[in-house]
Amino acid sequence: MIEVTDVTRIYQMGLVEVRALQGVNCRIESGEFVGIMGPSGSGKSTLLHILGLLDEPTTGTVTIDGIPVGTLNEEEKSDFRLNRLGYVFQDYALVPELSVQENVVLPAMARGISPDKYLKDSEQILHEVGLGHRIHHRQYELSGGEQQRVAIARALINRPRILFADEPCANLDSNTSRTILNLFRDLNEKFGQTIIMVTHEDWHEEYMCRVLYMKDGRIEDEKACKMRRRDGESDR
Amino acid sequence: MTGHTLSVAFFLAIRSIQRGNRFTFLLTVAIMGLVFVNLVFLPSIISGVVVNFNSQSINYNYGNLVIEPRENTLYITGVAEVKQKISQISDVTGTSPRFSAGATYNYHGTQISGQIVGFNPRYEQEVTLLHTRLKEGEFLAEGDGDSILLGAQLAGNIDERKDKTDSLGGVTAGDSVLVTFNNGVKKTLKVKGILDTGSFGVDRNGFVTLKEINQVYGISDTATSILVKLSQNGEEERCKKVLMEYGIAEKIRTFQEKGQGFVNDAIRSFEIINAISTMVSLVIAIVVIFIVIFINTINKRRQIGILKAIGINKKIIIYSYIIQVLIIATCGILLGLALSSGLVAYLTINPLVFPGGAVYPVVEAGPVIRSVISLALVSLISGFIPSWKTANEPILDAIRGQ
Ligand SMILES: Nc1ncnc2c1ncn2[C@@H]1O[C@H](COP(=O)(O)OP(=O)(O)OP(=O)(O)O)[C@@H](O)[C@H]1O
Ligand SMILES: [Mg+2]
Repeated sequence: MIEVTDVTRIYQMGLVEVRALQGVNCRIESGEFVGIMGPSGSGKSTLLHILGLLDEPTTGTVTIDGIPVGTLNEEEKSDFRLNRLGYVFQDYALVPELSVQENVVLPAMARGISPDKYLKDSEQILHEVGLGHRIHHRQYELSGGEQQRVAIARALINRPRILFADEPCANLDSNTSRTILNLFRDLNEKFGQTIIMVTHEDWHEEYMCRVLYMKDGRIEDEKACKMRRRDGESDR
Repeated sequence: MTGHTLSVAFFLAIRSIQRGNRFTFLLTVAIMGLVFVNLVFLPSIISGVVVNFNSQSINYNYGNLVIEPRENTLYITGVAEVKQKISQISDVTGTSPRFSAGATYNYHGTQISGQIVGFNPRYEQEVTLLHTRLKEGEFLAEGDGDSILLGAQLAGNIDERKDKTDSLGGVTAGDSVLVTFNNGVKKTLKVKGILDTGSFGVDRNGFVTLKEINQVYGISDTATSILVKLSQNGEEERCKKVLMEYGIAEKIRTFQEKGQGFVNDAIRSFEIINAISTMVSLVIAIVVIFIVIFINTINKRRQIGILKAIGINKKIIIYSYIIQVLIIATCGILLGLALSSGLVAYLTINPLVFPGGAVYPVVEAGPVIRSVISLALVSLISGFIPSWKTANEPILDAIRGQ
């Protein structure tokens, strides 16, 4: 569960202040698949970065699973991201020198998981995302949609409590986007995976439980969608 | 924690080298290799010059120790007794009393002044290797009279252009030269052989038996120096003390002390050149290696940001760059060793020729270790600073690459 209270984020650009977030309040339950939408520059990415511990609010607090994350030091944040959060970036952000499987297991290696386990886990997850046959390929041998699925598998290897995705389909055609969104929906439905995703496309709503609409650094509106939140913790 | 931190860092480093930019890798390795050669090569030549000079000094000029007349005297007298005393010392394997004096050589109207040295051929062979350096003819025998050995420089060549200094113009074994000793005695001596040691001071001299000298000067049991050969080189200072304790009252000097002057000055100048060259190549190495690695790391800025974002500890990231750089340095050093060995092998077959004779490069552990350490250190620094800097940036700055 995530609780956001009065979060602001102000960028100082010389003498000019850019108010990217101007008092955001919201609450996201475990097991939800939440979308964040809004016009360009409305603060979606900024909010996602703060929720994902990649950035800090200027004022206000964020609590994840009861932990006020503002109190963590750099090392603790790094471990928090490694152990509890998963990220998917718009441009996949894979390590080009690593194979598909090596990319996926990297966060597990960094946790000190035994090779036996992370190799098995990665194979299973790569099957789940439909890349069982691409395990030993390299990034340049994959299509955009396949690369994004590798990135998703990497984000899932440590069984994160929350999965963040910032416009994961922005570089993909609509068919490929659907495969990714279906995958997210399956993860959410089958395993109760909490997912927070920024998107521009209205039709993505049909995959989500709830959408937060942002404008000028505030959440202006929210809407419950077709999908229902699965009850209970994401205890995959 | 640290166990798998290192193993993940190692994994990333290996993959990055295996599958990253080959050109950058090879370029950096090549630069390091060449810098290594530069750091090792000049010192090896200097060591070669020193070794060459030392062995020349010992083998042809002085033996290990030289016993000289006491203060304010011109000669060592009672030579047999002194020789006897010295021979008892266990480290001493040979002693050769010598008598040298000024002389003028005449051959076919050419006149050259120089030194003439008398020794006992049998004793001399226990100390120096002169008898092995005959260009032509034969070495002196113990009873030889009216015979002389000439140094190759003194004997010279018929073709003047081949001479390095003024010479008698091409004396060969079997010829006769007229020698005027510095007491005025003139004698025609038959040239028994020509000595070519490559050592300038030796090849300008003439050599006769002590018997000849005794006759000319009307002396006996007298020498101007006694050369002492030790069973091992490098023991000169210790044995000098032992000799003094044995009651040798004459001056005792090591071959190094005798050789001081010209060559030591040359070596000192060489060492200054070497220090400058070492500094310059190290600075070039630092700059080049730093730039290559820095640019490489800066190019990976976004990737470093991503790795941090997905929770990879920044220690892993920094270590992975340091390990990469150490692998590159190891390859560079190995390449450098291979290139230096090649160069040394080549120069051993085709030695450089110096005034003291052929100089073979001598690779000593010191400069090699120093070069290995400097290169490793330079790499470490140029791997650490940019990766540390990038890994400590705010994640979003690194990802945006601004
Ligand atoms: N590093 C920064 N420095 C200064 N201003 C910034 C910075 N990052 C974001 N901003 C500003 O903050 C505001 C919100 O940016 P943000 O990236 O969150 O928007 P967004 O909703 O994600 O837009 P888009 O849909 O285009 O991705 C924008 O006005 C942007 O210019
Ligand atoms: Mg954005």
